[in-house]
Amino acid sequence: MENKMTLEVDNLKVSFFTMNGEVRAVNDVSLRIPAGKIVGIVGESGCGKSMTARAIMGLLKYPGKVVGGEIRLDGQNILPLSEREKCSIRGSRISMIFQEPMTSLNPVIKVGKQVDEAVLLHSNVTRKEAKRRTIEIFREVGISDPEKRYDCYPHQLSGGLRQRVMIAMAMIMKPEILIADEPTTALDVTVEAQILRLMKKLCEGGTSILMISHNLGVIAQICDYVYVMYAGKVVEEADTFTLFDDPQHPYTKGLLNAVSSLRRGGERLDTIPGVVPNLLYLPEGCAFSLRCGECRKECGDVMPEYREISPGHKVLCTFAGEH
Amino acid sequence: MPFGRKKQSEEIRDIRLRSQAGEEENARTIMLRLVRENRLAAFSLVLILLIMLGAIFAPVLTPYTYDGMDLMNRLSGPSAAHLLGTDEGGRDILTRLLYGSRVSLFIGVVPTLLAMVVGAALGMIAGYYGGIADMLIMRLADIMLAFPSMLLAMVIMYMLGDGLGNVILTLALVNWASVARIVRSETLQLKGNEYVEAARVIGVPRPVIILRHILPNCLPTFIVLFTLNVPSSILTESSLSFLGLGIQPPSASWGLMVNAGRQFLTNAPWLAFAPSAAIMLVVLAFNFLGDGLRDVLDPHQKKG
Repeated sequence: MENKMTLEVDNLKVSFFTMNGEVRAVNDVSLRIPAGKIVGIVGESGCGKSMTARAIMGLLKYPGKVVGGEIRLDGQNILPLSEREKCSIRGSRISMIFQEPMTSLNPVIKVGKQVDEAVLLHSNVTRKEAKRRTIEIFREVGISDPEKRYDCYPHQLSGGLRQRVMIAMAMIMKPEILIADEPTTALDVTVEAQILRLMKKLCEGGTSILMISHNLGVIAQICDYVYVMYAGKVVEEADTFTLFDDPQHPYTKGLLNAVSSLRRGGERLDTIPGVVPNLLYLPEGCAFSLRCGECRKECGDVMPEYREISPGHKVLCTFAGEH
Repeated sequence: MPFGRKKQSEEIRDIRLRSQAGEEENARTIMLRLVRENRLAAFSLVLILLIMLGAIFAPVLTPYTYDGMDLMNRLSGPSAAHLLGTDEGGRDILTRLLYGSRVSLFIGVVPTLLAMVVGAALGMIAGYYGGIADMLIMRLADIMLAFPSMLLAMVIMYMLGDGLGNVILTLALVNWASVARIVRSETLQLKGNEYVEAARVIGVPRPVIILRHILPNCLPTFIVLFTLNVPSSILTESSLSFLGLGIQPPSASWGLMVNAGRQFLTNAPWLAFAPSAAIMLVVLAFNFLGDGLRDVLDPHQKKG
């Protein structure tokens, strides 16, 4: 990709130091997010998607810790920054929205005031100016009657509206990158479509988006490039069309087979057998070997190499391209 | 009457449903629900307000002064001139009770507020920051709580000496630890909420998060803590005064009056009974109010 990179994550490692030992929640993950694009991360629960997002935001909770790698925002490594410097970056240059719009707003503060907070923190403006900007962004994210909504408390708004408020809060300072951690999981399908359209619009306005989801439908709709994660590692990356047309890693294939479709008629849905392995006791070789339908003898012993099998399409499987 | 009872229960259910639907909770609706759901608490609130008015308007309400001696009328029983009788110096008991309520309410409210400000600040810091701050603050609180509170108060009073200011300081020192403990656990719970995380995401610094996002959500806890701590402060002050460590005569304080009346318990029992009854009333009223407020403010807790 020739584009300028907004966010680059290199060999990021996040570990949790528990009583039972070190859990490598994110193990050597590298991501590239070009300016003005939407990049998706898919994977099952517990594969490290959200931990990657938290590490980027600098919001890992104890006992989680970044143990290696670099996170560069416009070429500047943001990992060694002090808490204060991180505070000034968060919300202004890098921002995030959450899965659960119902609990992501403070119930005792008017939603308008909560959005104001972001403006007042990061720019030197009066309260009146902040309010004007908040109402403006409310209009931009499609909140009808923004003047009236400004004075609402969160419980007076529907889920879709709350998610819009969350997006407004994240977007008001026009950050370079927005991390969306399953932004539509808690919403119903019509609202989901509206929110996705909104995110696409934001992206056209110049913000890069890192979209985390376990919903392949969502990824297919709006992402330009996709990373598939499994047990803390990226197992496959490609642009969206390549990934959906020509998946190479058995895990990606499994995920795609597990998507229901009206066209497939009445047959039973495929599933991937087993569960995500305990990150404390990963197998010697490929982490997916225990559940892989195409597993061979070597898979359990040899760690596969992450290779590029065609330009921009990388796979973590010894036998990719041969299956 | 079964019909009437049913109607009331429906009313309560109605209130519950509305509160679950997230109807806006302002001071007025809370008061309304308090009156409807818990008449005892509402009555207590009225009583407390009356006593406060009595304390404020004491000079207007009585023709006597709290230290005016009338040696002709020593230890006289309740009469039209002295509704609750007089003490060994011929001072009007009702008057002393009214003036004493100033001390008692003051002692109830001010140290409680002081203890709550200190306890809440330390509790929130401990809960939110965790780590070493948490460790230091909570171990200090544990040490404070390890002493019997009455004994601790007595020791501190002995060291500081008598006087209103010292009583307030002592009570605050004795009470902050339990407040800190409760606020800390509340903070730990609130900290996990996603809106705290969301605030972090837009770059709100941690002290601001504590003030803007944690503190307001602790408010119901504060109100309940306040109403439950006020009577315990009043009681502790009464005990200290009774033991001669608190307010000094001729100032009037309820505990002091009980102590003075003790000697005349057999021939003039009203001397001790009147302030004892006053203490009991106020303490019960605050407790009932606190209970009622807790029920109203916390929808998760089922009414017992």
